[in-house]
Order: sequence, then C-alpha cells, then structure tokens
Amino acid sequence: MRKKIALAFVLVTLSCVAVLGMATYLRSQATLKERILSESTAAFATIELKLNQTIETAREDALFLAGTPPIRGIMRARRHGGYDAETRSTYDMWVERLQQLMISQLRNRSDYWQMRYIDGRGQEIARVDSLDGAIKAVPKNALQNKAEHAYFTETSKLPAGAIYVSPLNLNREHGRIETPHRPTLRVATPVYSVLGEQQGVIVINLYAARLLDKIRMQDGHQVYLVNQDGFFLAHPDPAKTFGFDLGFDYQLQHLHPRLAEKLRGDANEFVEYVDEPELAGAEDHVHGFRKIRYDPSNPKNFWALAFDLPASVAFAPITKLRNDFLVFGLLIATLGAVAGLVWAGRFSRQAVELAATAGEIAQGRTDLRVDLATKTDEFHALGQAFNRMMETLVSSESRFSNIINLAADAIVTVSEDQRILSFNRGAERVFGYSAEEVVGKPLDILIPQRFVNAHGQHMRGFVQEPHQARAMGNNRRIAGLRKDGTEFPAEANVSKLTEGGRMVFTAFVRDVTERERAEEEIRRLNAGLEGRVAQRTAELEVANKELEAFSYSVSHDLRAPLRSIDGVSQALLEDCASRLDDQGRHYLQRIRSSTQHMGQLIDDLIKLSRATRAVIRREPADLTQMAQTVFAELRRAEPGRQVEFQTQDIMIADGDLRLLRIVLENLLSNAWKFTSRAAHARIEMASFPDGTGERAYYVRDNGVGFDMTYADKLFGAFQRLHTPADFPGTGIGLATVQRIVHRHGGRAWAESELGKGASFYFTLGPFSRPSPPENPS
Amino acid sequence: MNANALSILLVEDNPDDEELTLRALRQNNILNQVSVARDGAEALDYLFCQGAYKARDPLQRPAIVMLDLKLPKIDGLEVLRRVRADERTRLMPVVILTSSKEEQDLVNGYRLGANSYIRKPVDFNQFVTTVGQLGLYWLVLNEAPPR
Repeated sequence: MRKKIALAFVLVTLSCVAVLGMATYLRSQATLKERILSESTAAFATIELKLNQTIETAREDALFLAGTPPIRGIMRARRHGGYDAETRSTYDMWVERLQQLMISQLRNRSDYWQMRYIDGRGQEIARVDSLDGAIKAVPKNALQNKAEHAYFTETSKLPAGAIYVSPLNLNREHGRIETPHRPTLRVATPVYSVLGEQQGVIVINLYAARLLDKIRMQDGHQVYLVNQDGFFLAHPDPAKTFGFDLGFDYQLQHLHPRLAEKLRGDANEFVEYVDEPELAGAEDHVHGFRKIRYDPSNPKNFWALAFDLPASVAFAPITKLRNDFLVFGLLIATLGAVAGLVWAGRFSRQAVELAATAGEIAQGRTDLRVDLATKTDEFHALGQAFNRMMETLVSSESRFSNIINLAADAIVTVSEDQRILSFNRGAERVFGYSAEEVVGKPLDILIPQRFVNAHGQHMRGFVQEPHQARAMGNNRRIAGLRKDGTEFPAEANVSKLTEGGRMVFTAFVRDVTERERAEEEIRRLNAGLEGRVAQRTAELEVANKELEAFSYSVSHDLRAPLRSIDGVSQALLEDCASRLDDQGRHYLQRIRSSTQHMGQLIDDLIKLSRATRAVIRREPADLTQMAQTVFAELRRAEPGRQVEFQTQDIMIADGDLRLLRIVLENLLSNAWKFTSRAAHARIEMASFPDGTGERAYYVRDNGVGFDMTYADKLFGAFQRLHTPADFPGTGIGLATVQRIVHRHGGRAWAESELGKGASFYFTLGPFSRPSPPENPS
Repeated sequence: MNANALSILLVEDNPDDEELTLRALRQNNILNQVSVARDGAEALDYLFCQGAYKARDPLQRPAIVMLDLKLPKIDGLEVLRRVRADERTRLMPVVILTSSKEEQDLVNGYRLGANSYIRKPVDFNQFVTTVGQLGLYWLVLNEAPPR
C-alpha cells in the first residue's frame, strides 16, 4: 500500500508538472517567437529613420544653397561677361563667396564629404571637398565636367525644389573608381534663374561608410544591406560589396535565393522561420528583410536590410526557458516522490490502526475508542470524529432503550411471521404479560379472537406494500386483549422496517380506555353546558325584554302622575291662592320641586338603562367639538355665570357618538355645577396617552372637589357626596358615565382634593375599529 | 276663516292630563272647541264618524289631533297608522303628545306620518308653555291642508 501511494504521488506530481510546464512553455515559446520575429525587423526601423533623417538634412541644405545670393550672383556675372554690375562683383568673387558658404556648411556636417555647384552644361563651377578632416575648395583647373553622370542628368529634369537621391555606389574621379573605395550617396537639387531657366544643379555627396558600419553588426548578428538589384552594399566580407561597380557578379541570389526571390516582390518587410529537414544536417534558421525607400522621386530604388540567423541564436531565450522548465520540473517531481514516500508510510500505518479499531467495535466492543495519541492531522481529526460518533451512538442507544422502556405506550416488535420479538415495559403494563411470557409467541394472543382474521388480512396487505419503511394506518382504533381476558380500546401505529433483509414490524399501542371515558364525559358536559347556555340566554333575553318594558313603563307611566301632581299643585296655587296662606303656598312649592326632582331622576334612570342596553357603534368622534357644544348649552342655560373653558385643539375618540355625548354632558355639567362657587371657575378637557397604548380623556375643574376616601362610591348609582341643598343632582350621572365607558371596554376614575377641584378620567378601550355600523333598516 | 271653527281632538286616557291640557290651552287663550277621546277606538270612531259618533258631521274635521301614545284598546301609533291610511284623514295634522321619550316611539311616530312629536314635561309651567306654542303654531300660524 505504501508503495502504491508513493507511486501515485510521484505520478500525480510528475504529470501535473509536465502538463503545467508544457502548457506554459508552449505558450511562452509562441509568444517569444512572435516577438523575436517582429523585433528582428523592427530594429531596422531605427536605421531607416537615421538614413531618412540624413537624406532630409541634405535636401534642406541643397535647397538652401540653391537659393543663396552667390548662386544668383554667379548667374548674373556669367550672363554679363564675368561681371555683375549690380553688386560690382566679378564672377570669381561670387564663386569664392559660394565656396566660403560651402566650407562653413561642411564644417557642421560630418556626413558630407563634398558640395558642388555644377552649371547647366555639367561643368563644375564651385566644389569644396572634406577629406580626412581637411576642408578645401578645389582650384579652378581641377574642376571636371560631370555632364554624363546620372545625378546630373536626372536632377536637371526635376522642377525647382525637387530632390534627387542617387543610388549608393563607389565614388569615381575622372571616370575611375577612387581607391580606397568611397561609398557615396548624392543628394541633388536643380537651380533655376529668376526667369525660370535651368542653371545647373547643387550636389551634396554623403559619405555612406559610417552608416554602413552600423549596419554590419546588429546585436552581434550578421546583417546585409542590398540594393534593389540584389547587389550587396554591406556584407561581412567587404570584397563582396559593390559588385555592380567593381564588375563582379555576386548578389543576394547567390547567398539566399529565397530571400532574393521575396525581395523582388512588393512586400516591404519579410520574416520567416525556416525549418530545415533534419537529415540535411542544416540548422533551422530565421531570415528576412526590410526595404528602405530612400528616393522619393524614384520609388523603384530601395535598399534592403537583410538578415539570416541560425534558430539557436534567434531563439536563444526560448531554449533557455525550456531548459529552466525541465530543471524545475525534475526538482519538483523528486521532492514529490520523497514527500510521497514519507507521507504514505505514516498514512498507511494510521489507516491500518483505525481499521483495526473499527473492526473490534463492530465485533461489539462499543467501549473501545481510537488512540488519538498516535494520530496526526486528518487521522487525528478522523479519530476524534470517530470517537465522538461512538459517544453519540452509545448515548443515543442507551437513551433510545430508556425511552422505549419508559414509554407509557406498549411498543411491540413483531417478525414477518407474526411472532413477538420484543415487548417493552409499557407493553407489560398495558397487556399484563411479562416480556419473557410473550417473546417468541404469536401476536394473536394480544388480539381478541374475533379480530384475529381481520388483523391477519390487514397485516398481509401491509407486507405487500412497496414502501420500505412506512407507518400503517396511523392511529387506527383497535381492540386489545389483556392477559386476564379483558378487552380494551386501543390506538395503534404500526411501522415496517427491513432489517438485514427481513421485515420487522413495530407496533405502538396505546390503551385509550381512560381517554374514551374522558371524551365521553366531555361530550356529556358539553351537551349539558350548551343546554344551560341556551337556557340562560333565553332567560336573559326575557329579562332584557322585561327591563325594556319596565323602563318604557317608567318613562311613560311614572311621569304621568308626577305631571298631575305638579300641574294640580300649580292649579291650586293659581286658582285658590286667595284661600291659602304662606305656609300653604310653601308646601305646594315643596310638592312641586319634589315632583320635578323625581322627573329628573326618572329621566336619568332611563338614560342609565339606555346606556346599558344600547348597541355600541364605534366611529370617529370629535370630542373637542362635542365638548364645546355641550358647554355652549350649559352656558345658555345659565348665562349669568363666568366660566373659563379650555379644550385640546384636536381630540378624536373612537366610540359611540350618542353615548359619548351623554358622557360629556354628565362630566361637563358636573364640572359646571361644582364650580358654581369658585371665584374664577375654570373647566378643562384634554387627553393624553395613558401608557398602556390607550388614550385617556379627562375633564378637570377647580370646583369644590371631593374627599378621595369616597372615591370608590363616586361611580355607584344614586351615590352622592353632596347634599341636594349644596348641589342638586340625582347621583346617576357618573354611574351612567362609568356604564358607557365600560361598554366601550375602557375605564373611568377620578382624582380630587377637597376644595381644590376634581379630575374625571376615562378611556375607551383598545383603539381598534370594528366593522362599520350596520345600516338600521 | 273663523278661528273658532277650528276644533281640536285631544286623545288622552289620563283624566289628570286631560284636565291639565285643557287648562294649559285655556291659559294660552286657545278657546277653540276641544273634543276628547279617551281611548284609541273612540278616537277612530270620532274621526271616521262611526260607532258612538255616527251622527257627527263628517265635514267637521278637527284642525289638529293631539295624540297620546299609550292608550287603552288601540294604542296611539295604531290610531296614527289608520288615520294616515284613510283618504279622508290622510292630510290631517297629528301631533304626538306623550310622556315617552323612547327613541323607538319617536322613530315609529315620524315614520307613520306624525307632524310633530312633543314630550310632555313634568314641570307644569313648561307644559303650559309647550301647549301654548303648539296651539299657536297649528291653529294660527299653520295653513291647514285643503279639505
């Protein structure tokens, strides 16, 4: 096992390194190659730029020279026989001035080696040479005719301001190639008179050797410069250059036929990786070129920078990368192998130990645990988890068996052939058998004889059900048979489990004798209760009707005699006044005031009974408005009194409008009444949150107040704390207030101190609005 | 139109109330003829000229009926219902004059077509004032419906 693990480790490490390495290498290789190829010609761009800059500078210098006064002066002097009358200068004087200009220019341009002015017939007029650091004008007798040279004939054809750039070739003096060879490039521009006559050319000779030196070596690699015909201008072997001048035929064609072929095409740039066949023994290489079009007036002329490198040189960075990968990969693989071997040893030993422990536990030694001291890392965690699992298992097993044993229900397991397998203590209690007596016996002994068949059928049906574990007929009512032969009603849940390929049934049986009796009792009580409720309701309805009839009768019949007494007394006072003395008239007045008081009592009683009976219809009630209306009525009844009245600006309550009005009438008229002796009577009505989520409203006055000792009597009917002589009243008002407030689900209370006024508070129950009032039809 | 020609029908079973009402009318100088019916049945007989009042001139209709609600035989509301149901008395002004302030009576009274609903106060002085205003309104100010 150890070897297997180690081997696997090495293999996995190796393949990972190999795959990763290959992928990285291939991608880097492709990128590098691309970059090398593109940069190989990009490096030439700087050379091209330099060349172009040089030519451009020469062009500007030539044009400058063509426009200088000496050129004009020479032309004028030649036209007038050698003397320029305009400036009083001779021809020679102008030539000398031109030479001075050329000398000063040559001093600044190390690339130039010659400047000339050649007249329209090809004869040199002014020429200054810069040879080996010495700048000097060439004497008149040494001047030559260059009429047949291409740079003269070609430039003469150009318009003013245009420029001619000659091919790069070896300089010739008097028709022969000068030695040592002087590779030269000529930049020329035509000179025109003010009348537009062609008056020769200005020519600047550039010394190309310095430029070619740069070209020869690029990053230590071989680079060639060839012209449009494939002749070498720069070559590691100088003897192979300028073949066209020196009369030998050695071209790019002979060295790199493929490059020469590509060069003849239109492409300005070309790079190629040449994969040579292995057998030929030749090395793979990279070659290419970049064309430089130096003559704007003649695009057919170009130079090409060409190169050819062995692939090993060109792609040296790639090779290095590959080697690095190989070394690195081998290192990792070796490390992997060593680590794998070490780890595998530890791993296999610990695994073997764990397996042994598990095996012993499986044999029944549930007290056994994994020795954690010898375990590391995952094995330690695994051992811990294993031990925890064992603890949980052991404790859950013991808990489970405790539950089974302590359960009040009978729990009986039954085998597939309907024999009892286990019988808990609950079962012993319920059936009266001990476990020893029934284990192994058929289940039928627990079932009344007449149900045995039906039960058997039921069980067979259950067996054939496809479900693996399932409860059968939850809470099925069955009958059980006790050991003493008595039957009992029971509720049974049966579930089926497959245990080791065999079916086992577990029956939970509950003796419901007691429960059935209790249920029966509840049913009986309920029936009785319903009957009693119906009876009480009927009685209440009757009582309510009687009360209504009574209050109607009180309101109607009791008042009629009172009215008679009062009326007759009045009639007596009016009609028989002459026959009555003061005492008699006083008595009659007493009769009248008593009857009127009783009339008031009756009215108040009716209000109280109405408050008791009325159906509450809650709706938003503007208590501020209501209080002001009530107060206005009080004021109207007694316009002589000065009472200050204040209410909270906005006070919306949720209650029955008519009943709330009665509440305010009572409270405010009380306040009105009990402030009748106050110097500055003041009544206030407002509200505040009472702290239990409800709003409390209060009416406060600065009247006589009352003794809090009697506060509990305040809200009882007919309870009065003042004599009628002090303050009239029936003692029903606050009882009515309390009745109404209670009907709303609120409460009423009062606070006072004798002589310091009183406050009456009430709430109207939780602020929940019931369904809107029904329309009285 | 001679005011004396306008008669009043008072439907009142309580002799005390009858006497006090008549007294109150007198004290208010309402001297119109007042007929009194002491139960609902008698009131209907009077109005429809039947029974004991068979000989009464049907054209002599009271200018106003003062109707108590709690009456023997036929109660006041039933009397009102029948008065409103009959073509001859449909438009006759009926004022309910009663001790009851029960909402149900008020609602039923108006629903059956009472022209007014007045609660007799216990205080006789108030009662006199009330009856005076009643007579003034119905017998003097109010234009009776066409006969």
